[in-house]
Amino acid sequence: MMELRMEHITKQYKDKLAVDDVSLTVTPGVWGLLGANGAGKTTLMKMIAGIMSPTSGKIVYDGVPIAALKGSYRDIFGYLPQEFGFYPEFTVKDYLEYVAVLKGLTKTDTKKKIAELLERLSLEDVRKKRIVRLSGGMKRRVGIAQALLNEPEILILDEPTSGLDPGERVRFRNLLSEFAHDRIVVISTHIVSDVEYIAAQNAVMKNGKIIQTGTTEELVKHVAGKVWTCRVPADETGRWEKEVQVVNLRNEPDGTVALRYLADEKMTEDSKRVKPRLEDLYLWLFPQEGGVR
Amino acid sequence: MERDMENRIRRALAEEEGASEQMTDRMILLSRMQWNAANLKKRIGFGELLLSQLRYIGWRMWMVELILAFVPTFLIIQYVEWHVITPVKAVCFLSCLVVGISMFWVVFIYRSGYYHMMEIEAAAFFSLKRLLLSRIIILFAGELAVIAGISALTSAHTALGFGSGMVYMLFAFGACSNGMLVLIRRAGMDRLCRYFLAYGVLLLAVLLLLAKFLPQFFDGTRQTWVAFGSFVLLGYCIYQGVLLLKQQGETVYA
Repeated sequence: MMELRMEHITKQYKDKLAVDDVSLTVTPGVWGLLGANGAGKTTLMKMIAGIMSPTSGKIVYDGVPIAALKGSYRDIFGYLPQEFGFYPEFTVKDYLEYVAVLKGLTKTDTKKKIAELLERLSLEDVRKKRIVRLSGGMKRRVGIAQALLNEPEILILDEPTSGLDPGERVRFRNLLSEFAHDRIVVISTHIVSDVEYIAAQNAVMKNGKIIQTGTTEELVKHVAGKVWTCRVPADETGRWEKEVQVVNLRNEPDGTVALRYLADEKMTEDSKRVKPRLEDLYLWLFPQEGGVR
Repeated sequence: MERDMENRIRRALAEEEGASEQMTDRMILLSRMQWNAANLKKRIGFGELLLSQLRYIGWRMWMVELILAFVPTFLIIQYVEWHVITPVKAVCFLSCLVVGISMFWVVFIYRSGYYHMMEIEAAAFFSLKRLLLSRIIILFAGELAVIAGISALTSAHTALGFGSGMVYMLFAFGACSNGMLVLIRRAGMDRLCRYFLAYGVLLLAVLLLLAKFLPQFFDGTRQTWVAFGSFVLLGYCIYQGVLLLKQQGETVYA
């Protein structure tokens, strides 16, 4: 079975251990890689993409180290980096043709694939427009399109939904779910809702280590019984935010505020225990991030 | 090979007596290898990549190269008092001009990094180093034409012969190109810009020091040796190019 295995991957910079002895096996389906900024997600993604060497450890695809596979690994690989750019003179079509050439696609395949992707990602109307003139969401869609050009078996997306509006995010999730049927898709994100509904498996990273893996249902069990909702007067929200981890607050028409918070025990008599979500787990593990995304 | 096919193989073997899990896995691995070999995706070769770069950067870079090379040469020819320019100075100037134009290659690497294209280019089938090689070949061709043109111009206005000018410029060109190809092969891509610039500046300094302290290098008396050196350097350039073509593994970051 198709399998991407990370064996004791470590990346040491001069003054920081960015990835610390990570071992993970990824199989076909969507994998969410969650973690706060600086957790080591992007460094790990770059090593999976083969553009950064690990300090120690190896990454193996179907039993063969990717360092040994070289070009044939890059041939089945699609990558959208966190900071994705383009040359300013490129139109959408120029850019996709340029990347298609770098991916070794023939002219026939390039034409067919670009037409298909432009339609699927609703970029048909802007294909002759220069990318610099597009909105952030459209630019991100162009980035996703280039990652899909060579019909990759492994798709690595680093913060793919940055800048996308809610409608675009839903379309993107649906596209990925459809795409991931027989492929390995790894999405690195700190926008939990992006993976909550489509990721079959998740891995949570903190300080360079994988601290938890599992399905969404398995992971949220760690905060089962710790998620509460209640209503408080509006002038008390400041105090609440100092005392507990507030996941969400919403102003109600009657002047109160509905709070969703994390705590081992309920803080008020009228607090109700609620079913936990992945976002609750995220904030439980990374309390300094705070707020709702 | 699709998962459906794998499942079908597993089910078929599960019905067979004596078929172990290990045997089934092995059968699937062999089937997958056979399927992959039979369904190899068609990919373009390096030649097509090279030609495509003419469209994306070739014509722009040649335009800039022409301007960088001919404008100063033309101005110098028009306004410089040629009776004060000795052959040694002329040759040294031309050699430095060639190194200066070659350092323009830094723009390619800088652009990739500046516009955040480096990671996408490095993760693609052809990889960043082969992409750079294709662009360098295009620039090589342009630069050889520029060298010939400048030689012709200067030989028409100075005592320096066309052949002499070409030999010394090709020597500088060979020295510059080899250093840069070594850096592309060995250095991490994220530091290449700095190393290129440092190497180019070092080479310019060496040429100027040679002109000052070893003028016999440029005065034509050792032209045969310089010609031989040019030949060796250019040959080594080609050899390094072939090595780069074969080199598939690379990282952007060390």
